[in-house]
Amino acid sequence: MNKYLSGIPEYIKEIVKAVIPLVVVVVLFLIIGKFGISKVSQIRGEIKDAGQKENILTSKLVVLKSFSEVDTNNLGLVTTALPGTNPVIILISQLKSIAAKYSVSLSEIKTAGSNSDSSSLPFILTNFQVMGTRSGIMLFLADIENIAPITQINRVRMSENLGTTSAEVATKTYWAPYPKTIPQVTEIVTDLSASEKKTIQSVSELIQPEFLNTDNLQGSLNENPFGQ
Amino acid sequence: MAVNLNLLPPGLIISKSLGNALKTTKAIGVILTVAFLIFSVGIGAFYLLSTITLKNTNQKLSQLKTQVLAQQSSEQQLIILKDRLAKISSVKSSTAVLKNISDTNSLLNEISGDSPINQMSVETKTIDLTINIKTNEDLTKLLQNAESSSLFKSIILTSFGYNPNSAYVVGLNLTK
Repeated sequence: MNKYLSGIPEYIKEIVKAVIPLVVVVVLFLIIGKFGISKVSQIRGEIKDAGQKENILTSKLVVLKSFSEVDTNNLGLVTTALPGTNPVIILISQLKSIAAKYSVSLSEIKTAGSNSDSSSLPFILTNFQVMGTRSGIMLFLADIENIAPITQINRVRMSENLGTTSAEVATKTYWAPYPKTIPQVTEIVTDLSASEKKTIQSVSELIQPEFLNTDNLQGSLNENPFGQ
Repeated sequence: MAVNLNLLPPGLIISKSLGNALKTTKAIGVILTVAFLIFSVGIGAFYLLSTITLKNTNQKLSQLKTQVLAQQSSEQQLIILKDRLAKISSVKSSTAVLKNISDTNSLLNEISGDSPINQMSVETKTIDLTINIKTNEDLTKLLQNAESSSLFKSIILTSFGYNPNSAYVVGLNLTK
C-alpha cells in the first residue's frame, strides 16, 4: 500500500487532501439540509394545522356556551313546526281546534302519507270536509296555513246551499326525520344567521298545538259498591 | 548576495498556480464546514422549538376538545335547530290557494247574500266558480268586478244561464 501511495505524484495527493473535505462537507450539507428542511416543513405544517383546529374549537366553544334557554325554547317551536315523525295526530287536533274556534264543523277527515315533492321532504296529504258560514270557513282556511306543523292548502272546493257553506279541503303537511349524526368535534359550528333568526320569528307566530298535561287523578273508595 | 535555493526534490514541487488553487479550496472547505455546523445547529434548535410549540398546541387542543365534548348536548340541539330551520325555509311559503280564495272573494264584493256560490274550486293556478245570481244588481256588480279586476291573468265566462228557480247561473274560469 505504501509502495503504491509512494508512486502517486505529490501534487495529486495535495489535490485530494484539499478537495475531499470540501466534497464531504458539500454532500453532508445536501443530505442534512434536505432531511432537516423536510422535517421542519412537516412539523411547521402540523403546527399550522393544529393552530387552525384550535381556532375552530375556540369559536365553537363560544357558540355552544352561548346556546341559551331561549334557543332551547326555539328548538321546541321548530320541532313542532316540522316534526321528526308523522304528525297526523297533531294535525287533526289542530284542525279540530281551529274548527271549534270559528264554529265550523269538520268531518270526513282522511289522511295518506306520501314520499316527497320538490322540497324532498316527506309529507302527509289530508282531505276533509268543513261546514259553516262562508266567513267562518274563510277564517278557518286562513288559519290552516298558520298552524304548526307547517301545512299548506292544495285545493278547496266550496259550495253554498240555503245559507250554509260547505267545502272540501285538501292539505299537505310536512315533516322530516331528524339528523342521525352530528359533525366531528373539529368541524365548524356557527351561530344562528340573520335569516335563521327570521325563520324562528315566523315559526314562533304559528298556532301551537295545545298539549294538555293531566294530573294523576286521586281515586276515592266507593263505600257502597253494591248499591245497598 | 542572498540566493533562493529550492531544496525540495523535483517530484515534490507543486506549481505556484496549483498551490494557490489548493489554498483557496482549503479555505472554501473551512468556510463551508463552519457554515454547515452553524446550519445544523440552527436547524436542530428550530426543530426542537417547533416540537415544543406543537406539543403545547396539541395540549391546548386536547383541553378544548374535552370542553367541546362536555357541551355535546348543546351541540346536538344546535344541529337539530339548524337542520329544522334549513328545511322549514324550503317549505315555509304559502301556496297560492289561499290568496286565490281571497282574490276570488274580491270579485264577490258587494254582492248580496242572496246570491250564493253554487260551486267554487280553487287550485294553485286556476279557479272555477259557479254562482247563482238572484238580482240584476248583483249580476251587474259581478261583471263590473270581473272586468275591472287586475288580480287574474284571465277571466273567462264559461257559462251563463237563467232559470226561474235560481235566476242567473254564471260560470267563471279564473287563471293566475
